[in-house]
This record gives sequence, C-alpha cells and structure tokens, in this order.
Amino acid sequence: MITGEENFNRKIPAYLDGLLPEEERLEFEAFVGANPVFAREFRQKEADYEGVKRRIPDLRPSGEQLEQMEVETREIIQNLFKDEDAGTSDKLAQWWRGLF
Amino acid sequence: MRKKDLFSLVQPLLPRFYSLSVALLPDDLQAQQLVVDAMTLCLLKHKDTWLERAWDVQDRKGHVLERKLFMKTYVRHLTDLATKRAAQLGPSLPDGELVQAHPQFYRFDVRTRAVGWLRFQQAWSVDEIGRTLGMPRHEVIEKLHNMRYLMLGQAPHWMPTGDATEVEA
Repeated sequence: MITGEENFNRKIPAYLDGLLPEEERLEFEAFVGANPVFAREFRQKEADYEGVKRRIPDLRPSGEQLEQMEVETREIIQNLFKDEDAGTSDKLAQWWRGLF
Repeated sequence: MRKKDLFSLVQPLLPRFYSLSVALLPDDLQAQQLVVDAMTLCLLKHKDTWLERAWDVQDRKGHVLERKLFMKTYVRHLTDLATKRAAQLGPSLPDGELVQAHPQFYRFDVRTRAVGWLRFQQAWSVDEIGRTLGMPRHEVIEKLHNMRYLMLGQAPHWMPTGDATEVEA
C-alpha cells in the first residue's frame, strides 16, 4: 500500500518540472508545509534541481557581439521589408524615379 | 507593424537568442552566425504574419505577448538550424572553454540541450517546449528526466556513467 508520503515523494519530479495540475500542486504544497521531514527531503531535491540549472550555460553576448547582431538584424529587416512602410513622400519619390 | 517596430520587437530578445545559440553550438562565432541566420529564416518565412500584426507603441503588455510569440517561432527555427549545423560541423567544433566549463551539458544532443535550456533557464512549461519544438510531451519529460539524472551524476539504470560520447536522451 502506498503511504501519503510515498505518494508525494513520487510527485516531486513532476512538481519540479511544473507538470502537476493546479489542484495537485496546491495539495503537494500543503503537504510540504505540514510535514517538516518531507519538506527537508523536498528541499534537497529542489537544491539538486537548482544544481542542474547551474550546469547549463546561460552566456550573454559581449557589448561588441550584441552591437554586431543588432546591426545585422537591422540589415535583414531593411532588406526583407524594403517598401513595406514607405510613406507618401517615399512612394512619390519612388514613382518619380520610376519615370526616368 | 512597421520596420522600426519589428526591430523594437526583436532587439531585446537578442541576448537570449545568443544564450540559446551558444548552448546549442558551443562556439562564439558559430553561435553569433546562427542567431543571424535563424533571424533571416524566421523573418523570411513569416514575413506577412509579422507585417499584419498590430504594434501599439504604448501597449507594454502587448509587447510582452508579441515577443513571447516571436520567441517561440524563432526558437523552433534556431533549434532546427543548429541541429543541421552541428551535424555538418561534427567533431570539427573545438572543445573550447564552454565545453570544458559545462562538460555534462554538452554531452547531450542539440535538441535535448534546447529542451534543458528552455526548461531550466527560461522556466518554460513542458507543454510549451513540446509545442515549440514539435516534440511529444512524453519525449520532453523523458529528456528532462535523463538530463537531471545524468547531470547530477546519477545515471539511469540503462546508461553507464562516464561515457564521453554524445547522449541522445
């Protein structure tokens, strides 16, 4: 027979992965709050989870790299959307240039 | 949406795109190039969608939602492109500082790395990750489960620890 603690123990990974439905999540949190022994075990697993996060790189670009990517992104947008937002004066100028 | 609006939409996301890119391809230059290539692909394929979308300069909440939508579309393209590029580059990609600093993470294949980065660094839900990467829910859960076990040095019963080859979780 599965005891209450075993049942909640099995739910720890699902809780940490955000997989528990709202009702079960609240039930799980209530159980953690009411059982200090289980809470310690849960905090340990939670710390492990944070340990995984620290092992995954989250590298930000340098100022120079960011600037370069911004310039290239601007160019892509400029080239892909050449005439999309031309105002009346731009369109008139294009039409005028087209005459010659 | 106008050109300058589109740039305003994309610009704040660039550091995050770079972070994901470098998690998928552990090389500064390759990662930077990947960000730009995925941007071209993403804008080219969904050009009309983005032009048709409304962009109210004052609506900050709307900007958050639009960026989330753009990010999901972009992440899919970036991951697909990174998978192809990693296969092309193969072992020619140097084991630089990044790989040395995160050896366990870079043992996984590109798609597993994407799942891990999105879940652990961006706190995306399993369903969001699955929908974005076109992966069934059980596959996302399995990849996360294996990543957690392997990165904490507790290999699942079917996999030996210390195996230096790439792991497809």
